[in-house]
Amino acid sequence: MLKRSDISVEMDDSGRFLPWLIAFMVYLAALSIAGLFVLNGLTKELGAGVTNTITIQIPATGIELQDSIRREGVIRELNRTAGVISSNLVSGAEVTELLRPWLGDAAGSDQLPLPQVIDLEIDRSTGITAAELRTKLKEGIPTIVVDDHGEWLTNLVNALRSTEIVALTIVILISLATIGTVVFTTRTGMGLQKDTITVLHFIGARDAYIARQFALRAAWLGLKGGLGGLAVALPTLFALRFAIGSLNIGLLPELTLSTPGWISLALVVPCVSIIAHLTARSTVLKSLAGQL
Amino acid sequence: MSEIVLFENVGLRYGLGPEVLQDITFSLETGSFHFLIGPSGAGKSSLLKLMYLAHRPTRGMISLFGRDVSTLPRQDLPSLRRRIGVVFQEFRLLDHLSAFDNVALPLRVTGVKESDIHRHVEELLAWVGLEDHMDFRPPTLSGGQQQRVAIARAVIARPQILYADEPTGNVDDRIAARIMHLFEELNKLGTTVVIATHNKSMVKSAGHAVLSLECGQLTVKKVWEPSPDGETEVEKVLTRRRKSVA
Repeated sequence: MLKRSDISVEMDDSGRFLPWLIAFMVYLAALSIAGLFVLNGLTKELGAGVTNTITIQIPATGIELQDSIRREGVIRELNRTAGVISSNLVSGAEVTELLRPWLGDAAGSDQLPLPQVIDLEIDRSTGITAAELRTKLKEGIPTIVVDDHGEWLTNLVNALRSTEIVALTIVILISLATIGTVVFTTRTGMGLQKDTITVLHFIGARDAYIARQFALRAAWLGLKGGLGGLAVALPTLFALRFAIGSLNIGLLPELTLSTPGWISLALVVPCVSIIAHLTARSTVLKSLAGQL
Repeated sequence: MSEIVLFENVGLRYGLGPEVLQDITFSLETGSFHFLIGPSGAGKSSLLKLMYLAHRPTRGMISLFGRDVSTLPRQDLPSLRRRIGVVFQEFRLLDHLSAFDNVALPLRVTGVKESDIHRHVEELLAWVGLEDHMDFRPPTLSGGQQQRVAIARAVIARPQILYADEPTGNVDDRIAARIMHLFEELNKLGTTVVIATHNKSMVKSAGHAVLSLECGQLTVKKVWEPSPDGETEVEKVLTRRRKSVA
């Protein structure tokens, strides 16, 4: 509980709406921070997992022997190519499983000609590129498809990083808005309690003593509002996770908040309380500096 | 005895208005007891405000506890104010605090332990006859009771100087005598006391020195002296004004 205060709590209306404003800001900040950590985890996972891989699709001809000859020819060519670390033929069953989210049971149908898929692990430092490989392989099989995951994943990772910057900017703007709100409510409170401040000065109170009264109150209101905002943000986050999870998008890794993410969320409320305390204190000290 | 308050050619004006105090020169010695008298509007409250550091003078020099307050850094003011007790005419109690907490304020701002605060405050409130009203807030107290809380707040920290503006204006004779006795006791213990009052009989019976303010100018008298022509201070001012108009 807030320690006994010499300033009047009942007299100051700012005490009524400040917790609500802070609750709203903490709610937004918690969502932004959670989004920031989830995106960060996603970026790392996608960036680290597949940037050094290339997928080659050999379209099916419908004749098993011809498919086998084409496959062997491609693998031979790949083994001769500098920069290819390994090549792995993806089995037909695996290809069927990969397509099942999009095609359903039709993915396993014999009527559907599935391409032969080869996963390549490459060493980009050797200068090998998908374009170069594509040119070389198209000489033998013009319809061959060479997908460089690095290219589109780089674009995806860049897009995710931009979103991270947006989330971080939102957190910074929310912090600034919190500071502005506390400054405004503290100044309003000081105006309402002018007589009390004058009396405290006359009996020998130092500015720091008066500032402490306002700062403790702002910290307490920040704590109350922050807890309220977080209490609403957590169910929202769980609901979002459930909603995204139910989309069953196989491409995306599971959207989970890392331990640093949970710690950051837990720190939002104390941080807001500390920001409110320091802001109120500094506002009062600056305002009193001009008085006798 | 050393000078605890020294005014030299002090003038005070509010904004661009006329000087409400002109060429005020006097000194108060440590442990002295003075009454400040004068008609309404003579500048008593303004003079007290200068003495308890609510204003800085427009001109002249004021020294408190041997320090020139005109050049005193702002951060040094609280330490001087803690050595001064003030009973305001309008009491200036904090309405949201109980009588107990109002009286405790000067001790709390100096960081006195809560256990000591309780002992001292309860003792003093009992002394001024408010032991049954410690938890009452000022708006629920009568004018006289509020005045006693204000006096208790002014003296709780045993100030070296005590200024009181009409401290017995709202109390009956018995309480007034008791309050005067408290001031006399504090004075005997070394506190310098200045009481602004209109109560001529109190000034006369106490027999202390008198600071007399009229039209912003101060004269110091060692004891109460009635006007030679029998007129009161107010009557003298009115007579002078009537003559100037005529």
